[in-house]
Amino acid sequence: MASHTLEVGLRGTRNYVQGSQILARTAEIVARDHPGAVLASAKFTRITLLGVELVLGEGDAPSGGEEIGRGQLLAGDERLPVRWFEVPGPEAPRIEDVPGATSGLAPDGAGGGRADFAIAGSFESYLAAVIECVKALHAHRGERVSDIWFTALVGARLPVAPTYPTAGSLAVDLKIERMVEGRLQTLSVVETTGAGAPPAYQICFSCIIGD
Amino acid sequence: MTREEALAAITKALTETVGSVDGDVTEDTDLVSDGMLDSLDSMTFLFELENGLGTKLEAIDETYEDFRVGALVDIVVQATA
Repeated sequence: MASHTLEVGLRGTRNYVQGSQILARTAEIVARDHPGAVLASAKFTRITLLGVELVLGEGDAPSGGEEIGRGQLLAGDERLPVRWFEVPGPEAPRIEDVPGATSGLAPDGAGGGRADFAIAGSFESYLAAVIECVKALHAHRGERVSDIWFTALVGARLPVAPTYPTAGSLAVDLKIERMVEGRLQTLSVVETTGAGAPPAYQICFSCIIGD
Repeated sequence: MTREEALAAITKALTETVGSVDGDVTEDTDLVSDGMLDSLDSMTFLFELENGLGTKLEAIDETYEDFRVGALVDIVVQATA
């Protein structure tokens, strides 16, 4: 087991540490020993505005913080389980927001749709574009939608290396919706087009519908 | 699809969702209250089940909450009849 405190922050006006930051910092650490690794899954069970600790392998966080999520990377045939923990203490530092990366949003009227993206080609920039796109599609639903959170990635093979297309498009197909404890949870399939695009995967979000 | 085939499809979707299943899955099993699926996993499970069957399970809408395997078998058998 090894643990690392991740360099994450509260970006812009957000009052939570973005899942994309947590995944990107994790990918950078994993890529040191496994440059060809891919992210297979990630699931966040809660959000935090504090620091985040990554634990590679099984075991609890040395800081004693509460678990906020877990995931799995693959390096060839080797499975690399990871867990993320909140670090008790002060809030994560404020960091500058970044401009949006998607354009031409086209909702399909069924909770999905598509958008174009232009990014730096890094893992983090790709994740940020996907989350921006799916969030925007959720916000275009007919109901009043608020508090849209990225909660999970499933069935993915997302390289930790910066091999992503710098321009392309995202197609989002809403597959499953469930109301759980007053929140709408969604599962969509994301397809990416562009040179070096990763294969399709599932992405989950949680949001509040209505007042 | 028979009830046995439906149970096999449900077990396959469950395995694809959580990786491995401890113990037997029977029609008396409740996937959520027996701790096999949390709310996030339940969406992946339904996605895998519909994918495996090749059909949308219209009886399972956004308010569906019954994850007893027997109830799911009923739905699968009806949807594939």
